[in-house]
Amino acid sequence: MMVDKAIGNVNTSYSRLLQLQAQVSSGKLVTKPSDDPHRAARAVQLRSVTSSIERYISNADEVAMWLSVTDSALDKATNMLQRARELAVRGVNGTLSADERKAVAIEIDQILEEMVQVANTRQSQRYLFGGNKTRLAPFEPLRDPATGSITSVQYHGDDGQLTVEVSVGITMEATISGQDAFAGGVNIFDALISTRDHLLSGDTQALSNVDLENLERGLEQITARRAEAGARLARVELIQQRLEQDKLSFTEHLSNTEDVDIVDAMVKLKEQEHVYQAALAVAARAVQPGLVYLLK
Amino acid sequence: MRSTFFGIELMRRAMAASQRAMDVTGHNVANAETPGYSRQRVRLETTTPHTLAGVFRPQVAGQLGTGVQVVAIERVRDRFLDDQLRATNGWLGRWEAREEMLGQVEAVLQEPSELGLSGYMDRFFAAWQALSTTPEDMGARTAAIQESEALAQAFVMTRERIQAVREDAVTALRSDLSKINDLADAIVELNIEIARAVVVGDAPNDLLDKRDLLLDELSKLADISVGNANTGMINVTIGGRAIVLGNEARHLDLTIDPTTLDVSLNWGDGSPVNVRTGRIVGLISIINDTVPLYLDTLDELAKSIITEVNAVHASAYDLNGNPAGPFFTGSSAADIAVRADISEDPRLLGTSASPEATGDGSKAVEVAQLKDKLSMHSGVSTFGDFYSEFVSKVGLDSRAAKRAKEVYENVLESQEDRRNSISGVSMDEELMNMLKYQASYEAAARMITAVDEMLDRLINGTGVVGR
Repeated sequence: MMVDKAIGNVNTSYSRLLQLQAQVSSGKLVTKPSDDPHRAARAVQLRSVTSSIERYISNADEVAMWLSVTDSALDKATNMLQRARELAVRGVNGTLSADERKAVAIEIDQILEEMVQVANTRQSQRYLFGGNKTRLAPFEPLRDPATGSITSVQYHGDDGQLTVEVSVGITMEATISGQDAFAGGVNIFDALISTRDHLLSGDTQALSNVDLENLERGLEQITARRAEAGARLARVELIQQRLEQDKLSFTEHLSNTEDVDIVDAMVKLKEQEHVYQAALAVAARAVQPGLVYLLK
Repeated sequence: MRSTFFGIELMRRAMAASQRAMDVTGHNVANAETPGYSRQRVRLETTTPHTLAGVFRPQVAGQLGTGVQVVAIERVRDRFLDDQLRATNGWLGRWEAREEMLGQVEAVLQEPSELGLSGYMDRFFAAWQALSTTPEDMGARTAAIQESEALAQAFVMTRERIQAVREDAVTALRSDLSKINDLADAIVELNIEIARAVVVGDAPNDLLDKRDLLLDELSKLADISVGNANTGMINVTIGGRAIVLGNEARHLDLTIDPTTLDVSLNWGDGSPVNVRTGRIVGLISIINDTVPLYLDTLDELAKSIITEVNAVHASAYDLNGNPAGPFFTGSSAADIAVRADISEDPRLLGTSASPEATGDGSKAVEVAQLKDKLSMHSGVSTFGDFYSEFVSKVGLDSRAAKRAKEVYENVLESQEDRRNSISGVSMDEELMNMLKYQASYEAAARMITAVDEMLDRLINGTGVVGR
């Protein structure tokens, strides 16, 4: 009976030792739900939240990427329009010869071609300014069959925007409408085309009355869109910071929930080792000789 | 007058009794570690004394003792302790069986970790989030489909493996039942042998021990009560009906409902068996209640995911500009799968809210947002909440079983201690007895020598005057 008891004690002590060893070696406080059901459920939820946050972080990165691509495209467009306005101002000046005006018109035409390219900027298979019709080039130049120069530009896109969720229930548009930027209040292409044509025809009256005004308003229009992209970029950066902080705190929370406090666990393990040794020592004494040896 | 050789006969009896007692001591020592063995002891009594007849009777001290005899070899056992211990055994069996099976369910779930169903759900929603940022990208589409397939497979696998635990439990129940029936047969055989011995006035101690051991074993499987029948036989009842009736055993049968796969126990004649404790009760509760509940929970979750995702997907358009239709097929965790043509052609995945807008990921966002939608428990919890509640339920069930098992183990241990303190063999005690019986044997032998010397004096040393 004493022996049975001693064996039982050694076994109990040993299984406790094993459990602590498992905790220390796996680093996990809860290895199966029954270890602590509530903690386990909490860990499952926290892990899910952490996974969401990680995904939101990459979504926010994505939004930031699209917005900065948009920003740099609009930056290019702004510079080109500024240049076009300077050229138009020079064209209004009546002192230019016809050849000189023609040279200016050619440069405007180049700006027009480039502007179409900028408006058709593509980033990883997606046309930036075509709304959600991302597979078609949104701005199609129609050309004079004889001269090959652009006579008008047609828009094929739609109003849709790439919408990305960056936090629970918070979505952000990662793109700017091409329609609004290039063909909104003022159609920038038409303004460039008419500037070019009036330069060629020498109609300085129309240049100074209509075209300069339109180029000016076009510039304002693009700048306004760029400011919008910039504001969104700033906002997404704030969201990114907050998400990173959330990730940190939730990861810590998860770790607190399911990870072992290693110092605590080591101390307990050491303690349990001593208890086990003691149980073994007691067992060794329990198997002491009885009367049977003394009778010899 | 007493017989001349009376002293020799008296001492012969004493030596015989000492020998018997020594034999019993030896038997005890030999069986000290035999399971179920109860310590035996000899009951010594004086033999019938002589009333000496004689003319001068009143002057003679009456009734001369004639020595000692072994009237019985008794088993030291407390029937009350046996009953208590068997009741505990039944509860222990019940919780042990549950703990065993629930431990398997826990192992299937692999929570909390990345490998559990929750990890698959997280990755599923993350893939749809990723898809929403690049809806026209074939890589993102394929990834979303693969994660969706992984989720569907995880559901099917988890369900199958929990189902397998149920099948394990049925197998265990079958083997327990045949064990019960075998034990009943074995008890009947012992009953018959015991009756044979009792009829001729013997005490079949070792057979009784064996029968008690079988009863202990049986009590872990089902709650039994034991009653005495005539000539040392016993009756054993389960839920008020006899499984052993003297020299006759009855058997339990298992029936499985073909549609629900629920199990039930019945007597040969079809009437149900009422059991409250024992392994079989634990197993039946796993098979009929616990596992089906778990499976229903999984099915409910899978079904809601199918319904919700399909509702969004059906309102979306695929890359070809066609309505995307349902995304998942199936209606439960058993048959959930990604629609076959979608898993072959990622273009058929619906992400866009309009037929032309191929770059629109708003429907993918909606699918991803289902992660936080309160779709379960009639609109109070998310899929994740629902699942983690399930994990916690399994954990609680398993822990309850483990704790109850530990409690009954402790109770059983103390009851076994008490029984051992009564029925167990103490080596020291047996050795003391050995010394005692050895000494009394030697003393009897010495007495015989003394009587022998007296007779020698009488026969060879008396009346030899002048010889």
